[in-house]
Amino acid sequence: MQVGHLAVAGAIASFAPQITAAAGVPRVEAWSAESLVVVFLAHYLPNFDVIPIKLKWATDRFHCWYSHTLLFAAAVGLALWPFNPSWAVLACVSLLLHFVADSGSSIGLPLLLPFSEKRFSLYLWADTGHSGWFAFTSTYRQAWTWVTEGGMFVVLAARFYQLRVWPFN
Amino acid sequence: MFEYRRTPYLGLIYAAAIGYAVTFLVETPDRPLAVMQEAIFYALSYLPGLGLAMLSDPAPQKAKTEYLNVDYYAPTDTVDAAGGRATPKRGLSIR
Repeated sequence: MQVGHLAVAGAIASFAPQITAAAGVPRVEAWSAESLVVVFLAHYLPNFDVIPIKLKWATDRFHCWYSHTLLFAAAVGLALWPFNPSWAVLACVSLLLHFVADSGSSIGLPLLLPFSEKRFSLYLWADTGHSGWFAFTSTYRQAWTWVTEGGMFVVLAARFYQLRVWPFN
Repeated sequence: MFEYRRTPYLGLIYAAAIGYAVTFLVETPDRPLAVMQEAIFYALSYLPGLGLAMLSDPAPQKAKTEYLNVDYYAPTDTVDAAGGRATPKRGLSIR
């Protein structure tokens, strides 16, 4: 998933009050600056693994490796918990939904590393690289990316309506 | 991108169905959607609608098959030859 991550993150931030209430941590308002910053940073965090690749510190195979594991989500949650439990919960949910959003990609997610190297994928679309124009355009030559990412933008619009945000106010 | 000329138009039909379903599910009686607001829902519904239409078009499937045959994460010798910068300092490869 590429552009669709924007919609997924926006939708998660819209559910911040429900998520924090369900976890029993201090409430965070929907689409508050706090929820938007925490959710967007956490949701995009796994894809920051492209930075060491661009800096030539790692090979291309570093993408979708430890950053896309349950261990990573747990580590981020545990690291944030002492500072702000609400941020920890929102970050964990954002990371897990990042993995769900990426589960259609053929690259597969090594969710159980370091215990298992098995990669999980629904094989809805073929992965064509971690960045660049070709990776972008070739992703959108495939059907399921439109279904899933477009669907998320419809969900986001529904949340705009439900929360009375412009242009649905 | 499409092999059939009908695919973008078929997407419109799917979009209408998705847009109707979404507005039916989301709209509340006390806050009826204005025409422009409904138009936004129907316009956005074209994105997944087009995707559904593409599922019955051979071109996207061919593209997917073609991409699946290539390993886009394989190490490139050309970069190595140019300066050796593609080789990581520590072993970070997955396999």
